Amino acid sequence: MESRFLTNKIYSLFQNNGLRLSRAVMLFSLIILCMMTLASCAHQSERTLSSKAGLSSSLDTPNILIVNTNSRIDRYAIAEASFTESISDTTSNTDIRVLDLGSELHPLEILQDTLNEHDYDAIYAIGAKALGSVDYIDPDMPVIFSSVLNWRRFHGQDNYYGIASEVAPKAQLTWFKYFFPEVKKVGVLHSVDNLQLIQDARISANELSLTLIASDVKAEDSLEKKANTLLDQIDVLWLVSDPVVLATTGKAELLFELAHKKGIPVLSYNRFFDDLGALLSITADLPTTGRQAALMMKNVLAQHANKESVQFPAGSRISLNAAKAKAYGIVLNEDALDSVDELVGE
Amino acid sequence: MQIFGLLSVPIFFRVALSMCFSMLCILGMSSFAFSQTQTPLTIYFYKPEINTARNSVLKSTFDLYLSEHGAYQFQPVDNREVFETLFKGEEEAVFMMSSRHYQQLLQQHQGHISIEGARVGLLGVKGGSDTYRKILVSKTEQVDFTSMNLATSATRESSVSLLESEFTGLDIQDTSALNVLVVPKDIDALMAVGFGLADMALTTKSSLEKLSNLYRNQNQALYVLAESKPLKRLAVVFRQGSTEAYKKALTIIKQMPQNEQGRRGLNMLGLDDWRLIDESIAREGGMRHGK
Repeated sequence: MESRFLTNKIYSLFQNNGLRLSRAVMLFSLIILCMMTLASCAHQSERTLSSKAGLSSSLDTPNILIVNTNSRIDRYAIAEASFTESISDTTSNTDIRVLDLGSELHPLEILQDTLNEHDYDAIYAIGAKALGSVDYIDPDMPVIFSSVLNWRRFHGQDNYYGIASEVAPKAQLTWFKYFFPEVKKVGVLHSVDNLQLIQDARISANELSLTLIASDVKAEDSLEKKANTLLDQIDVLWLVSDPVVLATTGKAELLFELAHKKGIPVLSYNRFFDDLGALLSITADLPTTGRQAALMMKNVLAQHANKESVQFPAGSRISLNAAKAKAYGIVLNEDALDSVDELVGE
Repeated sequence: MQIFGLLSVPIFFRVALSMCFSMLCILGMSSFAFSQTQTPLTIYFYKPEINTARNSVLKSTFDLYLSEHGAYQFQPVDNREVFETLFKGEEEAVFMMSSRHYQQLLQQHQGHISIEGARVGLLGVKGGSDTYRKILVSKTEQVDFTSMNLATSATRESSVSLLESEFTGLDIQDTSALNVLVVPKDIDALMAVGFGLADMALTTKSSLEKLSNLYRNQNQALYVLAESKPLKRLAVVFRQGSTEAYKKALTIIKQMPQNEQGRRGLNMLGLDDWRLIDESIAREGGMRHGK
């Protein structure tokens, strides 16, 4: 009864010529309300899942899902951008959807929902969170990954392909030799986890006329003692990604301090160590990593075998501390400057 | 009698106020004049074989050298189209670019009034030579451009154009299906083939020599499938209205090998000297410190 009264009241207001403006305002408000409701619905479905514009979708075209750990982080955004650009260049008519887990509190649920909503042919997982989530769900499709530090865990796993996070040890040693041709003895501290890497590196070092002096470190060993013994025998110290030797930032800082005291330059596999005083760092070039992943994806989609299930990055990003080279009195090949991407400590 | 306005202020403050006003006028005029005369001359740089990630280090190295010589700035450009627009539009600027790119622009814009004002003053030199050669290498003697991967430090467009026009004896029928892996450096391209990440590499002959020299077993199972014609190195193209300004800019760039910072800049570009192309400058005595 009361609602009927209100309806009549509103109707009477509409009938009133003096209140035309109010009617217009109400109508306009209603339209805005509808638009907002529609927009919020649309936004809800695109909150985490976005489709790359310009790429068509049909039953014949391959559907790729990119699962990104966090698209707002540069290194992940770069890999995504260069992958998308390369795959579009080389594979026509590809439908690419991106799931950004950056702000997701329940990544597994949203990933599962996404996989249920659409049929995908392959996944490109960028970063550890993305790959970990994909691995947990274990979808029955090929997975290509990059920007994952513990990539070795996935080496040899069926349907998993990827790009390692560090430049190949052989390539790192080649760059060291190119920049510092007079270096003869390279020292490295490693745990049992890197035994195979050291064995391979020893062969590469031999080809480059370098002597690799390796020191095996166990978790219970004194890193200081081991490092000091090694530093007395070498020209440069080479850091490799190792879960025991570089277990904490404190251990890395200790190594740099000991090396500095003995006047031994440190060569590293990541730009992270530039701030600690590394002489040269060889890091994987992120855009190249994305391009390699795109080529791997193309092979997987065409059912061509990839030569290796995990490839080392083909591109390097080199930072050099020329001031340190001068301070240590180490001979720098000036020709090699055409390969430097960043000069640090200037 | 009442005194109003400025006259009501004691004489000391009146003098101080006048002095401040005069100083302000002088400072304002001089800074205006300075801003008018010190508009820096920009040296734009673009080379498709040089990774754009290096733009920052190139800029800082060149700016350090140039800052010792006046109002000059180095500006790498990471996009070919943007660079070409600048080249056509900027009337007071210097352009460091691939000689091949410059020739292509000349052909495309023959008779274009703004292009005609440009002149090549210097050419890059390495080991006494102003040319270099590109090579195509592989681990196998037979290559198939429709199914193999090519690692290259240049863009896809530039690499394909180079293969099609500068190499003779290559059987390239269809490059549309060619998988190109763009890597940052020529040595990366070679290593990509060495490590099985790519089937072929388009690189420089000197890079193969450098890499071979590092290893005991030289040229480890890498076949040079084809070699390009000699290609001119980096060109420095000047677009300046005043001959004096042109001579000055050219001299500053030409003298880079005589300065530590300048040498570093050259090394960063894979060069060790410049060759003077515009001989009239040398005859007129523009190069005070010799060629």
